[in-house]
Amino acid sequence: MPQRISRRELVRRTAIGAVALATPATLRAQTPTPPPPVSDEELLTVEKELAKPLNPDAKKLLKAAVENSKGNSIARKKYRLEDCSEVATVYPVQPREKVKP
Amino acid sequence: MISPYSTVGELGKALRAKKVSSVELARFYIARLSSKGKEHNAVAELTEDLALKQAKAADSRFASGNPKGALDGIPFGVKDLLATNGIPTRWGSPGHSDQVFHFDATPVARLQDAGGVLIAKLAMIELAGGGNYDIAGASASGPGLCAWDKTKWAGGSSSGSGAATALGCVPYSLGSETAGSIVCPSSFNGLTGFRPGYGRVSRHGAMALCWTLDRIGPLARNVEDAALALLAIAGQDENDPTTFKEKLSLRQRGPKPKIGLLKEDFAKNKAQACEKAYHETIDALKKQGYEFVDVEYPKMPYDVAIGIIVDAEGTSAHENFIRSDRFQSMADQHQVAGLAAALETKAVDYLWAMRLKQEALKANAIWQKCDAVLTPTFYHGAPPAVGSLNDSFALYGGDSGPSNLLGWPAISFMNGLEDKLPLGITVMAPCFREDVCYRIVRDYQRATTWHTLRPE
Repeated sequence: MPQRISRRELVRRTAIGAVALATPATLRAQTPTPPPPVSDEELLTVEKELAKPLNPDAKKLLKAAVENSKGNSIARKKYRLEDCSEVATVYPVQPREKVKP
Repeated sequence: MISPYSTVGELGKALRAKKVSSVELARFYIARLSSKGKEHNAVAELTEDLALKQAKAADSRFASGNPKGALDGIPFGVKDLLATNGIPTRWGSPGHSDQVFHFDATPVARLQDAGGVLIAKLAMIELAGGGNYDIAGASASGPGLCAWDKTKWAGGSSSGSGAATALGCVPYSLGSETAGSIVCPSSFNGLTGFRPGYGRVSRHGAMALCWTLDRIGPLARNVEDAALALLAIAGQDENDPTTFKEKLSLRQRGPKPKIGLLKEDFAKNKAQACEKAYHETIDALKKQGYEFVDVEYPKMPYDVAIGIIVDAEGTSAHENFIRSDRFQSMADQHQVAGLAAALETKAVDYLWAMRLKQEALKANAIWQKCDAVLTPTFYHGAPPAVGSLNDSFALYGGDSGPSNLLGWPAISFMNGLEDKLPLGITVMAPCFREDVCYRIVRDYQRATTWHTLRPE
């Protein structure tokens, strides 16, 4: 019986597709955490962003997709970065003559 | 007699010796794309008129004794993610079926400047899979089918580039990678795929999935061909400010690179064939004088960062489409759900991911111990073309490290078979050291014959 992985993990491993199998070995060894709760209101909020309501197939899949996104948000908080006032993301200014109108 | 599997080097020799013309080559490969290529859903658009015009011009240069170089007169195909002047560029997406740009992407323009003959736009996963696809059929062209077995998937998202090149429908092709899309189809189709370091090749005219991760690179039958294509497309471009000033050189530098080996888990992933191929590859390289050392990356959630970056940048790059009426025409509803959900990505999460890139630079410490890292591209050959990819990939493993986040160059090359399907292995090197990847694969391919096996 093959071990199931989440769509998110698949993407990490392949496709866009990540060759990345994602989590470090020590994290993988831990018991998988259950997906974070997603309310109907949250799904509705997502759907309202779109031009028209999702079709039934996509609607069924949306909950898992939102769970994955929230899961990433939770997972990243487990790896804290120090508060930092040093340069992190960089915007390199360009001299005027290099900027195309 | 033209062999569809001729290398670029062999085709160049035949052209120079006037044993074949560029027009004949173009017609030959277009015919093959029309049959085998289409049977494998590898073709997005044939560019016959343009190809014959470019081939005639190449033949004139050969006739006058002024060919441009190694790629002159040789046909090629590009992933349909690259803009081509006046030719549809649909990004594999049913919702972009009428999209036409009126300029050539820089990599396409550079290959044409080198005398290359563009014969086709090649199929791809819609929007390069940014919405987390789960089926091989997540493409306007249908499921990309493996060159070695039509019941298997060609890999993604550069599916058509992988299948068409392995089928002998094009001598070489261009693909793109955000996190696996060159090495995956290269591995599943038995090719040599060269993922350059971030900033080596201009993305001007390439569909953006992630501005901070995307790369363009060649898929070819051997590393020499891949190198010729990469050398032609690499270099600074004022239209892509992330490109380097430094000129790419693949010339051998310094002593033989020391190769790092990660901890692999063949048993857990039931990967006996891959394990055998892995050890045979190491043995072949040891015979060439290469030394090996065990290495380990610092433990960080590299994958989580990539997932967040793809969500944030992918939805930003395609936001208008996602909010449009045409969005739900995507072939895979997983992509629809994934992109819709990704609209909610928090800014603070994205900025954490971008800052993790800085933190991940600590992984460069492994270059104190070795000059390259060797790891199976996947633990198994191509998965079935039907059903959930999510299920199929349960035991596939893959590079779990920082190579995509940090933009390291890599080459995936064939090193064995599993149930008559190709296996691939990847060599990665630090940024700016494509030459290290090239040197190792060149030495391996000079000593072995896996890269000469063909699907037929």
